[in-house]
Formats: sequence, C-alpha cells, structure tokens
Amino acid sequence: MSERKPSINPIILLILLIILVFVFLTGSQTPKPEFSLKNSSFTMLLGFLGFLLIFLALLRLLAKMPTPTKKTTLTVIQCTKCAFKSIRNFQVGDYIPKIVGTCPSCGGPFQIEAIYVEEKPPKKKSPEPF
Amino acid sequence: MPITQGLFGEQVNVWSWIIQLAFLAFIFAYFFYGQRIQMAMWSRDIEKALYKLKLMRDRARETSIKTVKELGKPPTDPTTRIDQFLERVFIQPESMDPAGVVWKFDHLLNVRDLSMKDEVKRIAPEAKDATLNNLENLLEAAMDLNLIYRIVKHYYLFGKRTRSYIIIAQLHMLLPLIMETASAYEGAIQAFSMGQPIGDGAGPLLVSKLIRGREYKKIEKDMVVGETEIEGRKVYVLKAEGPGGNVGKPGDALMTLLNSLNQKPSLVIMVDAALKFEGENTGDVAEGVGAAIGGIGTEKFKIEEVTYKYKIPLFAVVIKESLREAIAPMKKEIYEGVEKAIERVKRIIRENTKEGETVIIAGIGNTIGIA
Repeated sequence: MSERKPSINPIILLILLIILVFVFLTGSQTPKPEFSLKNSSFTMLLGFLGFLLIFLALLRLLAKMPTPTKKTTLTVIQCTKCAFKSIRNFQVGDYIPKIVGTCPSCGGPFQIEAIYVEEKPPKKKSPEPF
Repeated sequence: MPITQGLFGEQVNVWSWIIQLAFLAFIFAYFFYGQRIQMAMWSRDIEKALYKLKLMRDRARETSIKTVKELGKPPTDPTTRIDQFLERVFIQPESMDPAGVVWKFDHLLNVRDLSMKDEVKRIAPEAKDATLNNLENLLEAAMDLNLIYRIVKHYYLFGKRTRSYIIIAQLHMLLPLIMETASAYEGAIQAFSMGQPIGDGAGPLLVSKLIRGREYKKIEKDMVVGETEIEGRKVYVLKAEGPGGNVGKPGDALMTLLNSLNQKPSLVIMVDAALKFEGENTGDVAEGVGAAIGGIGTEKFKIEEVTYKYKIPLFAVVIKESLREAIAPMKKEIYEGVEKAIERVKRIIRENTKEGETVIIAGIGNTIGIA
C-alpha cells in the first residue's frame, strides 16, 4: 500500500524552523518600535508560533509511516526417504506436496513440504504488561 | 490618544490587539462552527481512505486482467467482461419466514458458484481446472475490493450531500476496520494470482500432511476424502480438492461420507483457521467443541445436523490468525501452528477413542497451493 509522501521533508522543515526561532530571538532590533524584540507581545507571538510549528514538525516526524517489512515466499523441499531438506524461493506452479525431482543426496523423491512467507520481524516495543 | 489605549491600557500595542482578536475569533468560530470543523477533518480522513481504496481496487483489477491474459489466453480483450464480473451482485434469500432458509441459501450459493465458474471459463478459455479456481478466487477478491470502495464512496458522498454529521462520524469510526479488511483482500490478490497457499489453508494443509503418500478420492463436488491410520484408529480425512483455490462443500461431503460408512465413527474433528484476538500470537492452537467453519453458515448447519443425527461427538481444533493473515500468503508461524495442531489432533484421538474405532478429520479452508 503506497502512502503519499509529505511535500516537504519534515527534517528540513524542523531545521529551518529552529534557525528561524533562533534568528528572531537573537537578532538585532528593527527600526520600528512595534516590531522590536523589546516588545514582549511580539516576541511572545513569534516564540509561540515557532514552538507550535516545531511541535507540529516533530509530530509529522514521529508519525512517519514504518517501512514495510521485507517478505519472501519460500518453498521447502524435502526428500521423502532421507529427509534431506532444501529451501528456495517460491515459483509459480509450486504446490504442496508436488514432486519436483530427485533428492541430490539419496535419489529419492524430492517433495514440496511447505510454502510460506518469511518476514523480518519489526523492532519490538516493550511487551504489554497484561 | 489612540483608542487602543482606552481599551487595553497604557502598554497596549498592535500585536496584543491582533492576538486578542484572533483568540476571540477562534473561540467564536469553534463555538458556532465546531461541528462543521470536526466534520471537515473527518471528511478529509475519509477522502484519504477513499483514495487508498480506489488505488487498491484499481491495482486488483489490473492484476486480474493481466493474470487472465497470461493464464487464460482469451481470444479477445477480457477487460469489459472482467469489469462486468466485478459488478456482480448476490441477492440473499428472504428470511421473513426463516424455516428452510438454509436450503434456499444453499441453492443460491450453488447457482452463484456454478455461474461464476462458467463466467471465468468464458473469460479464460485456456485455463486448466486448478488455474480456473485460482482465477475465480482472484476475481472474487477484486470484486470484494470494488464493493468496499463503492460502499465507502456511497456513504461518504451521501453524508456530504446531506451534511449529515452522524453518517460521516459513523463512517469515520468504522474506517480502521474497513481499511484492515481492504488491505487483507489486497494481500489475497498476490496469493491468488500466483497460486500460493494462504493462511486459511491451515486446515487442508493439516489433512494433506496426514494423508501424505496416500490417494484421495472424490466424494462430492470440489471435495475429496482419503483414508489413513493413526495409532490403530481408522481415519477418514476430508478436504477441498486442490491445488486450485477452493473451499468446497464440507457439509455435503460429511453427509455423504457418514451415510456411506458401515461403521459409525466415534469422533468428528474439524480443523480450521480461526480469528485471533488482538495481542494473541499467530499460529497458536486451541481446541474445543463444535463445528469449526466460517462462511455464511449453510455448511455449518449441515455439519451440525448430520453429527446430531448420528449422535457423533464434534470436536474442533483451531489455528489462530488475523483476518489479514487468513487471506494473505501463509506465514511461517501458521505453518508451524499446523505442526502443533497435528499433535493436538492425535492427542484428542488418543484420549477420546479406542483402537480399531473410526474417526473423521475435516480440514476446513481454502486449499489453494495444497493438494
């Protein structure tokens, strides 16, 4: 399932916002007194907006979709005589218990024993306490 | 003196004006338009979900057309026929007078099944029997995705047109469940197009492992029976005919088998995949009593009827998995669950029957990729 990617990379957005807040908080005074950093309301507004945007950017970062786990469909082939086992990728036409040749070890019938999907388990969070 | 000084005191300036006005505007807007704002936010979420559903539906349709062209080698372009297939309807029988509704349902399901098979045969004339079943399953999954998309779109547009807060709210609340189901069907598309065993095939896989090396014979339409021995007991195993995608009619098969046996079986064990609860492990095995079978209920009814008629104990062994896992390619955990279930079935047989008695094991589920 494909997700629409956000138009701006949230990391870049976050860095830009931090720079913006830093510039406004440490920058020189403007000629107009109402835009001066001495003006507490103006500074408060900018600070509030800056922090709000940083918070939103952080939320977007945290909400980033997890990358899908890599899945491989495997076919397990086993000798019916000596139990010699071989695993390969699934091929169209495979089914359980199809005979797919002879055992390289003893020459017995080589039969498909299992077909399953194996996936790398995602990083586990700490288990639920219940 | 500026008017602001009169309103906000000596220290007032244009910024505090703006902040306070914005704050007041926000309070008023939320007070009068809160519900509309909420509805707009929900609508946006539903629109996003609809976009995803449309994408899933289109991908499923494309895969169906591609697979039909590859395996069925139709002489003409099958796109129109496939589009018509995706819009098929099934009208359920009337249940105002419920007596006999099971048989009416059964009849309509048989007709539906036959007509769908015929239609797939016409769309893909070169496909072999097993492939034909897989194609039918594939088209059914695409049909279900199409239906989900159409239903969600209908309620969304209807709610938006009538500005119904309740319809949009209900749809929004159901979205996680709807998307879970849709994404499960999307997983099934891959399995059906390639003929891979799916999670629901746990029951047939167990039967296939028990009968390994022996022959089946056909007992009912799309159903086979095999005979084996477990610890001195004669065991009949039932499953749908594979390796094509098929669930068969286990109820009919069990009826036919019981009516044909000279010796009354001591036990019927049904093995099926069952939906796990959130937080439970995939592949865990549980046992109990009753008919372990899903679907509309006609087969379950028949199994309960026939086991009651012959007074045979009915046991169930289930392999736990989620809905998504049930129709997606089989996971390793489910395969391992089948191995555990075999031991459980053997233990049930040992504890509930004596040597020389007869047992029936029915492996319920879609047998795609499992002969």
